[in-house]
Amino acid sequence: MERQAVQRAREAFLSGRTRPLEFRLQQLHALQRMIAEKETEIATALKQDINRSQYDTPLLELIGIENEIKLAIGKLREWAASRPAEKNLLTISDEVYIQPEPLGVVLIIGAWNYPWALTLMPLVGAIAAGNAAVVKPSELSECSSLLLRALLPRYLDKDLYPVVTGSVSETQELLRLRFDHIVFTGSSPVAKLVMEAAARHLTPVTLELGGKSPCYIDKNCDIRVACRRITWGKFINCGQTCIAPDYILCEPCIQGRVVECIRQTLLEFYGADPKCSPDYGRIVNQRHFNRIMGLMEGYTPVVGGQSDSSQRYIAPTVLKDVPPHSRLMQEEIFGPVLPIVTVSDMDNAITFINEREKPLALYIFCSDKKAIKKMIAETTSGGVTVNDVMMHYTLNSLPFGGVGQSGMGRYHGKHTFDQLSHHRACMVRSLGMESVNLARYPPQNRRRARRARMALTSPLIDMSKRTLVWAILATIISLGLVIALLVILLIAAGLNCTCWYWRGFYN
Amino acid sequence: MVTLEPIIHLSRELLPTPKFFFGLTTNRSRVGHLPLEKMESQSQVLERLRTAFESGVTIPEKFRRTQLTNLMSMIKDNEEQIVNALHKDLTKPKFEAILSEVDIVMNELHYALSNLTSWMQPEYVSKNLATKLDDCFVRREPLGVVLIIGPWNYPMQLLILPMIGAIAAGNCVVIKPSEVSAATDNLITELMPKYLSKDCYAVVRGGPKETQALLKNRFDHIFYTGSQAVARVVLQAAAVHLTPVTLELGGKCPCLIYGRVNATAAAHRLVWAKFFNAGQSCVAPDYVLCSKATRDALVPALRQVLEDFYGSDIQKSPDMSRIVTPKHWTRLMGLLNRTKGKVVVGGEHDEKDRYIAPTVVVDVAEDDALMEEEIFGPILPILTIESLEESIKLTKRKEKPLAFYVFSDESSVVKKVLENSSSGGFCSNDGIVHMALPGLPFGGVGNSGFGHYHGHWGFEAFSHRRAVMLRGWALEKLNALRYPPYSDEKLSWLRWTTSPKSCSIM
Repeated sequence: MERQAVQRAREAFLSGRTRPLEFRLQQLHALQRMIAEKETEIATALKQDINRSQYDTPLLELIGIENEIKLAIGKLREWAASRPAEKNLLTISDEVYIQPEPLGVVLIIGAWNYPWALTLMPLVGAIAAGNAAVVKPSELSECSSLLLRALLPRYLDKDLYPVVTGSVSETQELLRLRFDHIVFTGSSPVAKLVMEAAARHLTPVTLELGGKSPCYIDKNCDIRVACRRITWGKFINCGQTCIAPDYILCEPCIQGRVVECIRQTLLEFYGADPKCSPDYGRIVNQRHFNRIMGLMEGYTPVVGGQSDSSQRYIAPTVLKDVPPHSRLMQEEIFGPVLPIVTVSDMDNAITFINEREKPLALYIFCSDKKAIKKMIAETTSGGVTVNDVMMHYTLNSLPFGGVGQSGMGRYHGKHTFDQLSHHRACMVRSLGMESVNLARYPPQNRRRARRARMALTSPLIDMSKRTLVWAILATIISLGLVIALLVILLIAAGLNCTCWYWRGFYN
Repeated sequence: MVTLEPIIHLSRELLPTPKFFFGLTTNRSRVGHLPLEKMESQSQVLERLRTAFESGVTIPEKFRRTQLTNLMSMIKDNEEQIVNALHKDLTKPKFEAILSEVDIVMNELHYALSNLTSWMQPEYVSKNLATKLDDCFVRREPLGVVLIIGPWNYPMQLLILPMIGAIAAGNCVVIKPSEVSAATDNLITELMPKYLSKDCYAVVRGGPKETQALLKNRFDHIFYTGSQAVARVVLQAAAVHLTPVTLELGGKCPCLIYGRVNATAAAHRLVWAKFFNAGQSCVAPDYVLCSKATRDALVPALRQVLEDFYGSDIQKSPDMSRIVTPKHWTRLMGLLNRTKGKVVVGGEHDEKDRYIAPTVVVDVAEDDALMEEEIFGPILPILTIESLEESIKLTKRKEKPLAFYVFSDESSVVKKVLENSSSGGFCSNDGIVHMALPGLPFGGVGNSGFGHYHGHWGFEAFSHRRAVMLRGWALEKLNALRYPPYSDEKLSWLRWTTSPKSCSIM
């Protein structure tokens, strides 16, 4: 069944109907309509999957997708146009440009924590780039996946954008087939299997993985505001976000204050009993619930800690003085449990972060610009937000992606278009001007070789600083000379005019 | 856990692509003349490089400039030795060696040095209303310790050009030259530590076994130039560590000649591109598709141009290369013997000299031996297909190549081919030269590879683009729109502030 869907998508792609921009725009408009018209159904599906609150759905998923579609529709012509490239002396009369082209059939494997955003945002870029796309939503968010399978063919081209549902065996079946690019969002162990499968067909991959995103709070910053922002980011979607702040690093002297501020904020956000708040989510399934409860074993939380297995509810929980080698600090938590690890100072925090795998996101709360600059320069991560959390994800002009174990490749906005396109280098020459080419043909002698060297290696524009300075000086001087000339001419003309005027006056 | 042995064995047995790499046994001296006790183990080398990278020494611009300048000196000071080594390996004529291995590298170095400062600058991006007061930019950061595996056909260029990008991006680099081009391998091993920092850049030598062992280690990026079979093995090894990879492979680069065309000019350029380095270029035009009339005009033109270029006795011309090893020579002769086409030009060969004359074969069918795999030699099959559309369909039946060529004086023909084909790069009315421009990205698509390099693209290939958003403490009231408890009003305000076109005046 998967094989047939992929085969149909490939045939549809080879028919060439995704090439015209009008077709791609039409599909994007249709997708936009789908999101607008089916918001309620999507919200219901998410409520059943993950107990997502009514407002979290647009907030966390739909606004992002809407913005992506709007941007793609507005900018598609610009993105798909040929991009001129720098020439040299030999190619001065040629057309030299880069043409973005579709890759072919793209496979998009989504995740369960944001089942709509993480499948549809790459899909927007795939459509914009002119590809066909096979969408494989996660089976863990079952209602969303079935809804997507029902909705997408009603709005988009049925053959070009099939939805394939199923679990491990269906995914493995899909991965045996050949694609032109695979976009995978999920965990590292599965990513390794995806990459290995892709290797058989030499398929490039974009991997959006996770990791433990550290959150450093400097002792000299507005802790109240910092904690409010961190609390928002950590407990949204019940902590099941790849870029959620995984753990806090701070000095022991402010640990108490941090805990208090988080406790206060939790009260503001979800009330005294988060279980009753319509805005607080649940853990996706029993296995993850048990996993997160297991991580907390042996620790006494200072905030929260309550749970209810029947509802898969875990209260927003904070633990302090967590040892760096504890289980909590070995794997990505992906739940509403926030450990605080104390460090002696910022340098210590930097060392701590660098000892671990490169995270998907790094968060720094600090008021000192120099210190912030230092921390950014001495660490690495997929992305950084300073004095807030997760916001770098929301700006689609910023590339979103990981590095090292947190992933490879990037997307959002134009970056998705570029990631799912092939940038073809094009040189259009003419058969004329053959005399110029003579220098490179055998039989070779010193004179020819010298001429060839010169033609092929001299850049059209000398980019050195010295030339730039001379160019600017020359322009200023010549402008000055032109102005001087104009002034002289004007004066001369003026004198002439006034002569006439005075003559007239006296006459 | 992926083990490489069964895969390599399998790739040797099953895959039809040329066995350049892992299956090779040569009589040439392989691992160089350095005494064994002086050689570090691979893991010692990697540890040294990783420690150097973590110390931050490769980050400052000054360091990168110094290394690139030293690399430039290395090439300049040793030009003669480089040319000699290339002549020893491939009988590469001095002209070809200078143009395609020395000058192109020097050009790239000049380009990198001129542009390094601007490449390293943070790139500020456009913002929406919610982030108007924030600093939002993309920072280019080095990946860490990267591995560059070079091939034997352009042993300097295809190793040093990616290395330039890697150094410019601030990484530590391990290079693995091809043992098949042994003289160049020896030279690079000898020269590199004399000019570049020994702590940050290392040469690892050896054959298939040593490369296998090297691939078991963890790198932050692997850059491989070579064949599809080995590329699969490299990718499998990279998957174990989730290492990103750039693959520069090959393929059968078609050359379509249709419409009105000046046969002499086309022949000049075609012969130059095809027989440069005796056809052993990943972007050499592999086969020609044209109509009968064009073929009848083209073949005598080719014959004439070959004589103009190389004289009547091509084997004696100093401007013609040789096949790299006896094994490759045998493979090419095998193809020539099995072809059902007719040899109309050339066909002479000399096993001892590893010489095959520039050969043109006509009446080649789509299922001929010459159409099975990338030729990578001085044999040019011409397939006679009357219509342009049929030719394009034929190329679509094959894997996407690294380059696509079309010769025609009619721009409509060129446009049609361009729009109905896919390839790494495209060049009309010439061959190979499109890859000499540092402003154009050089890379494949599909089976010809993925990722790009040259110029700025090389810098990007070895960098991580880190998104940075610096927010302020103020405007907490604006942030309150996103906090629970949620409401409809908050939601509509939020939609407005985060929309891409929320305020066109600002």
